[in-house]
Amino acid sequence: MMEFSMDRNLFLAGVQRTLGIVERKTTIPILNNILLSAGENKVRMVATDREIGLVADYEAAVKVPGEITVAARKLSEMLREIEGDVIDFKKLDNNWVNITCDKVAYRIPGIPADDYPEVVEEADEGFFRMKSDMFKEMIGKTMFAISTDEMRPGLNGVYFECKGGKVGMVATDGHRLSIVTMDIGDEDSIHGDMEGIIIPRKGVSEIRKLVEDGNEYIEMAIRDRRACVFKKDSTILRVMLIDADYPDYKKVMPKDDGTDIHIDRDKMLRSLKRMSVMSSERFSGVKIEVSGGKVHLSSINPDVGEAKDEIDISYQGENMTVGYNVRYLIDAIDVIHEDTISLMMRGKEGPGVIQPIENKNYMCIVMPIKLREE
Amino acid sequence: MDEYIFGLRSWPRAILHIDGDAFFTSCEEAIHPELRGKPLITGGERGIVACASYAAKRRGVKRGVPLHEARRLCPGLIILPSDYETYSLFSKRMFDVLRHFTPQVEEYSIDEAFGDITGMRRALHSSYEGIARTVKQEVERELGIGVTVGLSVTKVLAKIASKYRKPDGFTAIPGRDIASYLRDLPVKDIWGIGHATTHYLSKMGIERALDFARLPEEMAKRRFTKPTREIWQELRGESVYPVSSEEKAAYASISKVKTFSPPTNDREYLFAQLSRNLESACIKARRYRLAPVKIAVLLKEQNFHTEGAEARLSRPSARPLELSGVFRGLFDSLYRRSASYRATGVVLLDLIEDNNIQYPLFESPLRIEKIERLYGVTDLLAEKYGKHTLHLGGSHIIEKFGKGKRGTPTEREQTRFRGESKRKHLGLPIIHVKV
Repeated sequence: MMEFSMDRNLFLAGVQRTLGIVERKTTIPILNNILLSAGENKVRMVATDREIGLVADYEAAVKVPGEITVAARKLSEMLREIEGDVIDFKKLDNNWVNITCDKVAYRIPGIPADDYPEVVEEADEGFFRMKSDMFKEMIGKTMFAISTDEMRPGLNGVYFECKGGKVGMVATDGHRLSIVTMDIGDEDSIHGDMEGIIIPRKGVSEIRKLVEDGNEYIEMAIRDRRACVFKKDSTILRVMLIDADYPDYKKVMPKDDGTDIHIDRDKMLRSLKRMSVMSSERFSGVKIEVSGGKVHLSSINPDVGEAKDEIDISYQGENMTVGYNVRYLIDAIDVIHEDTISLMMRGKEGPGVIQPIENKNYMCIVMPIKLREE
Repeated sequence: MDEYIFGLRSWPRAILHIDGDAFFTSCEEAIHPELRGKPLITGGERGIVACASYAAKRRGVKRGVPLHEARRLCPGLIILPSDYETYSLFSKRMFDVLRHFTPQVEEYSIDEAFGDITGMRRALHSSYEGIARTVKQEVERELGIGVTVGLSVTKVLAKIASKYRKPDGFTAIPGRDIASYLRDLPVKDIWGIGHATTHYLSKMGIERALDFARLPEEMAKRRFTKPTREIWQELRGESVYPVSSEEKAAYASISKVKTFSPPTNDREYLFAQLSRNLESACIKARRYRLAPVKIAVLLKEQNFHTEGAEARLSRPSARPLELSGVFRGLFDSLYRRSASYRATGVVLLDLIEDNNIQYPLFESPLRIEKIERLYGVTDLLAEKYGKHTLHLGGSHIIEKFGKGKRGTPTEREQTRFRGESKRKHLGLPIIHVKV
């Protein structure tokens, strides 16, 4: 037996919070489930895919303590469809679960909690504090560049490091690289340098959800360089790190100058989006030509058609024509909030660099593509 | 007459399928008249039977059987090395004969073609059956090889027709007779229906083509994916697959699988075989300016058990040098020392147009340029001196052992006319008449 009552919205929010973690396709049925354990005036919800673990406590009126696991997706669908205010949850001795609210009654089978993979209990030490906004900003500026290349596991995450009073994040798929550094504020309690860690994509998106809702600060800890832990109120997220080398990204940061164009961020973004209409699965190139006080954009896809546009700009350096993947340029500019951006082009084979001109904390390096039509 | 009728009109379209009977050995019999009717196989250089003549087939010799096995089954078996040069000349001529009757000819494989003869009755002063029979006679008369012709209202049905009576067959399935030809045909024998669909249909209690074709439209729409639904339509006499006379320009994937004999577990030799398949597949991909996003590798054991592995590339490429790291990894993950292998294969998957090169951050663009130029030269050399003139070190040992130069060379290779070189031959088959 196990029995508790809980606010419907709180219950639903709690379960929905786990949906990104529980597996969609798994051969181990229990990994589709979340663990609910009712203790003193609270219900703890635990979700894990064995790489990421989430533990969160929620207020509830517990009549009989106990624990059970149930299918997370079905549970969230049931809670979503129920219209009442308070949900009564009851586990029977045969591990079936009754979920009732007024006249509505659901009955689903659970799996005993003993079979659920263990999620490490977190000690309360070793945490440092950071501004949630800062973390969110850094994730937003890098996450898009994470690789999906299975052959290079190290690139399948965000590289996070802390050095000389700055925190930094880097992501790359081997064709472009996004890098952001931020000053550690007075209120942030990171001390000393921290060797870089690689947080996997799925972990990063869970961390983002955590830093997005509400609190000004988030607490973070690194455990034996194997896992990182984030804590907010009564929620703890534990993410296993990627155990691989990260490429020496500083080596690819260009030092020499090229043709530097300064351009209105919105104008450039809109023009690139116009070019991307020509993109297809097979082709997503854009030709950027700088000459005569203008930047000429064009995209020719034999399967679709042609697009052309031009924007007035100011620039320094010689005239130049370079091809890029239009998607990469859009991704890089999309996350910039400043009004004016700089695009530094270094010829047909050299890395292009995009950054806001007022703020050198962010840059995205984009390698060109060689367009065959030239 | 069947109670179920798919179409009232006999010939809404008229599509014929022509299929060479034991094509390679037929070609050999055509150029060596003294071999006619004798048990004969080609594939001598590969150590396995590539094609068996009907005389050999009657003695139990089948495609894919090792030579020693074939000799045991059929004492006195004549074993010839494959003479692809001659076969492709015959193939081209077979297609040309078909083109006398209609311009709309699809060269489906070396020994198979479709022809759409819809609307040609008046021009050729003949019924569709008459035209199809004439095509068969003309090919046989001009080339001296046996072919089977099937005629029906869709490609799938034409293929069923040519399979219906073979060799030396002619079968016409007009619209109103469709059902009687589908009644006893197992679904797995329908062109385009593979293992998975066969099993799926079997789960639905459908074993015969007629039961499949008779499924109501609503169910066909709900239960099947587009490809299966299209076959369902074709079976019912609604033509959806056009006979396309253009050369194939878009491939979804390219695969090269090669069987060798005797089976081996020699790591280097196997890897060389596999590398050669990679090179061959890449040559084809480059010819169509395509590059794979994924590659797959398979190893087939002597007991026909097959293991495969695939990997996504960081950058699409059809240049073996750029794939070798990933490729080696795939091979290593599959190879077992205790196993004995009879075939290796490579599949290039998710092909996209290789028009643009995305330069990488962590490698030198210069290296990519160099490799691209290198393969430009490789392809030039291949044009001049033959495929694989310049090849990977990894595949080099098959140049020394058994790359088809085991056994005797073909007659064509031994014969040189004036002005011919090892690589440059007149485009004519040589008929060997013993006087």
